[in-house]
Amino acid sequence: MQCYKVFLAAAILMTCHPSALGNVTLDDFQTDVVVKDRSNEVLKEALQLALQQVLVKASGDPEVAGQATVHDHLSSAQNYVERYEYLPDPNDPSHQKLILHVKFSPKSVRELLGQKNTPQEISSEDGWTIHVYGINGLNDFSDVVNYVRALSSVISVEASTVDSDDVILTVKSTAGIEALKKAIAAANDHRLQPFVADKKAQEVTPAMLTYRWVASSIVDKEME
Amino acid sequence: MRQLTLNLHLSEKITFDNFIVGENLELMSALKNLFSNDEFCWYLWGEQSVGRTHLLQACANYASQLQKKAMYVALSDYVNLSPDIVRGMDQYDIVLWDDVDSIAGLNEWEVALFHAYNQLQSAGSKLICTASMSPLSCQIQLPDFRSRLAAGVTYQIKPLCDEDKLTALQQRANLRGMQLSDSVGHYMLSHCSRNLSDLFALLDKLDSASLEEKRLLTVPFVKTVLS
Repeated sequence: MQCYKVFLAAAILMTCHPSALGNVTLDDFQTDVVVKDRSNEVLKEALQLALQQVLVKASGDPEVAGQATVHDHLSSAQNYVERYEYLPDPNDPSHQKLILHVKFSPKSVRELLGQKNTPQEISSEDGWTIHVYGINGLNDFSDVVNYVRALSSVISVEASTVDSDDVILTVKSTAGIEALKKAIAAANDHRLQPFVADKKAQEVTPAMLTYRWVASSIVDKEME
Repeated sequence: MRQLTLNLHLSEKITFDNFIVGENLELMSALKNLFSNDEFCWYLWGEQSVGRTHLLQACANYASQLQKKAMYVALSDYVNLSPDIVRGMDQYDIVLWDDVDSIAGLNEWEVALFHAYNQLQSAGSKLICTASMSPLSCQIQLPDFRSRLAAGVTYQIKPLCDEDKLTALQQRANLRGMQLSDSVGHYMLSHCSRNLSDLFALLDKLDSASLEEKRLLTVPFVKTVLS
């Protein structure tokens, strides 16, 4: 189906919207597209156009839809939709056209925009998050904190959440998260071992590292 | 006026009030105002365990409270049903088809639902469908039926965050007469599947085990059951 079937309601938004990501309002995640009917073909194209408009509004970048990492997702625009509905077009006395009002999920759109620069966008100012499982009592907790504190490049370690057998640490470091990961992997005693507690959660929080704390006696046995 | 239901235990306990809203506030508000909205067909989709069935059954109960005739059909149970069941549905004020995508590719079902759709629309009834995927991704083969499902109001039901899942777990536990502490709830969320159906299944298991062993729900007890 050709693009002419979809009439862009606010094409000007595509080229000169001034907003920046930091000033995005909820209205920036919804938009209207004039459509000629309710067919799936028209809907699919309209949703893509609507997503393009919203991406421009939310990013402030008129070229954002052309970027490869974003462009690849336009064909699955429906997955970013939170709600859509058809409304009569007040400017069409013949009632032939409709307005497709689309609201996108702010979270999904932000994630889509974040995909293009994820490694750079993660700031170390607030610290990296390390989730350590397998904590068995106060001694282990203290050992883990001291262990992480002793890693090269680490400036400070704070426990943000302590549970019965796991702890979430906020680690400030002079190096990036990859360097931190390497430092942990390079430690001779292997007491922090990579651990996937929840694959899905790990995928959406790339700044969080997850490990299992292993008792030294077990490490010794495993090394033998 | 009573609602009818086919092949599913429609619980009167399932209401909008005990749906953990999370980020679905707008959807909840829209559903509560369903009968004042002109749109005929509503399509709600979301991944597994987001509460599709809960919402649909809550709609049926809500309609019943408003003296509307409601019909709920669990289409995921199509193997035990005949497509003929959707005949004559236009006598109802609201018809609710749960898991409509489960009959995708079954021609007899698709044709039957397509005709029912048209009859419902002509009769001025409301139709709410749920599915696991967006209308454009839905694998319905009959093009006209697929188009019609996508032609109304469409909402994506958003999954709950962990804090809301904890609330859902605690609410579920309360309904079973159990007390689920925050620490036990957090333990379940961090050590088990985050899928709410799985968590509810685990809660059922814990309920049985705690009754059997006459133990309270504590983290050590949950660890024992899990192991």
